[in-house]
Amino acid sequence: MDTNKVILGIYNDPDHIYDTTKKLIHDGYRVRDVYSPFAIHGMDRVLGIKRSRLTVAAFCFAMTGIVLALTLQTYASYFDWQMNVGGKPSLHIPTYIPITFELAILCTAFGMVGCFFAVNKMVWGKNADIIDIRVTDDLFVVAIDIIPNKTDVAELSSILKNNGAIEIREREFED
Amino acid sequence: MSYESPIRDLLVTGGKTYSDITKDITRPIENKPSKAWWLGFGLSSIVLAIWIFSTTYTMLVGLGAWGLNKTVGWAFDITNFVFWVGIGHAGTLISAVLLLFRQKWRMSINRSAEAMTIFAVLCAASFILSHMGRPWVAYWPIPLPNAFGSLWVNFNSPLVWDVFAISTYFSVSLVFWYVGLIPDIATVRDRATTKARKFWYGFFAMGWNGSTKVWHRYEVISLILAAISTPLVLSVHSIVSMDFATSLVPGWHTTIFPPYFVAGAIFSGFGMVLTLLVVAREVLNYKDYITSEHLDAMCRVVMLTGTLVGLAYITEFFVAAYSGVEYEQYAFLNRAFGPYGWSYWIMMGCNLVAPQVFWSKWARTTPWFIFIMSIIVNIGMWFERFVIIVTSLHRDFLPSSWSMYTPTIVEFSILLGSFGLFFFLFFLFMKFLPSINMSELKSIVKTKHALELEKHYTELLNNNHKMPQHAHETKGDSVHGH
Amino acid sequence: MGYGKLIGKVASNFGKGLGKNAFSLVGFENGTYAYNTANGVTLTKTDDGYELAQTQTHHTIEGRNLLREASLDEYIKNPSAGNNDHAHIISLWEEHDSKGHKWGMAIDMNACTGCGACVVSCSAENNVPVVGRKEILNSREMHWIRIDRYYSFKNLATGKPSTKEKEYNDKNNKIDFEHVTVMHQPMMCQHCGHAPCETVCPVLATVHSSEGLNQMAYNRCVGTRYCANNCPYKVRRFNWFKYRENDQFDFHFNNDLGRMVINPDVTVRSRGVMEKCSFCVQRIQASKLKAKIENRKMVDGDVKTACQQSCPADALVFGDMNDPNSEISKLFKNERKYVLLEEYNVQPSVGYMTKIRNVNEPIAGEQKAPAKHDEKHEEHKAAEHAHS
Repeated sequence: MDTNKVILGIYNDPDHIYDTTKKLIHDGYRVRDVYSPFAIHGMDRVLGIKRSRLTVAAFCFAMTGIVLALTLQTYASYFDWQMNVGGKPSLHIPTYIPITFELAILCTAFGMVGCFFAVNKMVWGKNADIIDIRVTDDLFVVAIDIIPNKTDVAELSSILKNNGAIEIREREFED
Repeated sequence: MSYESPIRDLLVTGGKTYSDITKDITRPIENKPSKAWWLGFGLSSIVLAIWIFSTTYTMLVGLGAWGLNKTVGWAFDITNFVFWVGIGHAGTLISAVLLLFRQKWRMSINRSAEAMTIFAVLCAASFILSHMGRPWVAYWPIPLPNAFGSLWVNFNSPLVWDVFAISTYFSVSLVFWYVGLIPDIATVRDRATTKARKFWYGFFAMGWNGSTKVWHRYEVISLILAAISTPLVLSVHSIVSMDFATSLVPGWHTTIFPPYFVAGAIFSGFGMVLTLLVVAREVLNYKDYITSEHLDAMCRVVMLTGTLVGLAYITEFFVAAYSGVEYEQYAFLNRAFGPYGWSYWIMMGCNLVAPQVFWSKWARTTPWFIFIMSIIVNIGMWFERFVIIVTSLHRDFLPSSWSMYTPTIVEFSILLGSFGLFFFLFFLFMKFLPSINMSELKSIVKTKHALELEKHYTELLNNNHKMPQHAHETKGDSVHGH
Repeated sequence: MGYGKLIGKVASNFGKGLGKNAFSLVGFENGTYAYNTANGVTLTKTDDGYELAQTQTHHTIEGRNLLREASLDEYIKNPSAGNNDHAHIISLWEEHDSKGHKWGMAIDMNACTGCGACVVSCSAENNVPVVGRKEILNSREMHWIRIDRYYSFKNLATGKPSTKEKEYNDKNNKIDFEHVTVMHQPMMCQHCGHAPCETVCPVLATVHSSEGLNQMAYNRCVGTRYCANNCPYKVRRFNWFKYRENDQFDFHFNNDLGRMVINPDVTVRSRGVMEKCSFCVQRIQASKLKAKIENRKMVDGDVKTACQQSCPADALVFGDMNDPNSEISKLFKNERKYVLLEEYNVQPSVGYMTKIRNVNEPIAGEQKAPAKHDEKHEEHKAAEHAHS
């Protein structure tokens, strides 16, 4: 990142911020992020956020769960200590299915959520970098990078104001 | 923005703004607990004490304190276990399945329903623990490497499948519930005025700040969690039903159990959700969030699943008769006309007959009536498990071991006490966590722009006499659209 | 009529006195017995009731094909009379090998008189706890072997025996209660090859031995009782309380002298575990050890289970099914042999022999003689050839 200075446009209507952001992207400004109390439908597409690879991770974890479950069960009942239980064969694959299914789901859930936390750098007790105290209540904030000698702050501010911003601020991120 | 059809009825009534939603839902957390809360919490604590006492007594004295015997090895213990697990399934259905079906009416009820799931599964787990003859080695059904030569477990046994299924169900529900809570915990954190609240809500909010990049990933994992929780709902209660279906006891050994139990679980779970929410929306003044349309939708689910369960009863009976197997035929005749026949007819009445009242719109939208019906649903479903377990066990193959089962006061205490445990946790939840998903609700509140559009279209329709007055006629049937 | 126990015996409970001395009701005067009025005894009706503690509370077989019998004439004409109902079994998997010993038991219902000596000796041999009257009323007796006793009466309207209690209450049926027919069926763990109890135990507390025994590992049992629920014969017993050193059960386990009666070769079970007939595995192991020390193979009769040993009628025969010369192998080839609930394919190792009654009228009724065992065998062989 070549700059830590941003200009914040604060809105109270999601449609306004949506239109503003679209215009800003179209006009070539570098929008760092948009902060909202709920996920605004379509905003991630506008910002150019690619579809998360957490779906791939989820699939991989599911496969891990399946392999883990089958390995555990076949090892325990067939390779390690075989027992005659009800006359059934020691390698009784149909009965392995319920546990395999459950472990696949368990691994998917925990693995994927763990990745989610890791990718977002979310940890218990982390001090939140609060952009605006009301971002989790009823305000929406768009943060645009101020690239020195490139970004026309005045023009930017007017675009924001014309599209319904109720407040405009400048801020510096600590990276 | 997502396109919201202007003629659809509001899922959030009363003209609520985002700020209203935040204030309404954080109010119980930020204010001192109300008298109603203290009353409920106090009562629950007393009943929880009953649970603690009777469970401890059983573990110290032995299962002989219960009414079980050589023929009827399971009765109240497993009835209660299946009862509580079944109740939990509605929460997951509302959270997960309705998310996949894009049913936006789930948004105001899913968090409390999911909390209900977690607490219900905890109650169920308590019965697993207390029903064992030697609960101090209750961890043995878990396949852990050990010093006994590594003595593993019996993967053929449905009880081992249960260990995995219930643990997975509890963990995944907890994770799904918690992830959904994070943005709302951040809301409470940002409004916190006391040091303690700032610390604890800050701790659990994990640094959430509303970034769209994070929201994007959040929505992706919500969808995936919903997608895996759906087969979880179906599989967990199927596995629980296989505790019975894979045995050879007449009356248990039937392949209809997995779908029948899942339908029954959803039925009883929605019953419990209705019991909780009809009261909560009155006391907390959430009628604008949990509207009568929400109650209507839930009652329809209750009626559908109740009818499915009734259909399963008739199918079981038919198959037993058609099979020609004398043990199966006797089992069903004994169920309906034997010494426990009274419990069978309670079950039939409460599960098949009673929910049919919900064909009436009045029945579906009158809160006090819904409350009574929800209690009836839960009574009926408790009796269903009782009928399945006790009537099948007490008279099976060899008539010499036929016996009767009578519950003791200890078993009644544990059953009652489990409700104490459940409500104790639920009241804590209502006090310390936002009981409605604020961020989701805010996403469906109509924006000013959408309201202007709606006004515009309504005017258009009024001015144009040729077009039918669609908007007005459909007012009553909004949640489900056309 | 028995005499009341007034004087204390081993356990303190006996000192309290069990029963009443009923001899006071009868006197002997002038060379004849005098009842009621002897010794000034009077009878008055009270409104009190006294619940009899029974281990069996249902006394008819309800028309189920578990008790097979035939008359002597029918048996002479056709040795498998009354025993023609056999199930067609399909197996879903390959069976485990059964080389070595394969223990089994044959129970001859014809010889059994229902005396109960087997129950007493089994309880003594295997340290089965006494639970007392109150627990028997709760259906919690601990006996590993029991003798099921079933009654049937003739329905004079149809001329056939009636075994359904519902029919006894129907006034239209003329039940001949004056003439009762009884069947005694000793019942213990059937040591099933496809044991339904083994499949459902979560912790492998009950598994199958290579010699065909259904094993019970007391120290592994967590007490879920699923095995007992799944046992179709209901032979499993659960330890509901601690039955030793417990004043609530003041019998021989509750004092030092009484505990000297305990068989040291058999574990005393703790609260919360399941137990059942083990085919006296301690005796089997002891005999195997003895044979090993004497450097010889085991022969039939080396090991006798406690019930077999004490039966005065030799109704219970235990032995090795893999030994072609053993008595049990011969009995299992007998036409009178059947197993209970054969159609459920649990493959019990216990076989029952049809009861033959010396009466005139036919019992088994008109039945087609089934294909003889050899014929069936040849059909099977032909089918095998056809496949290969």
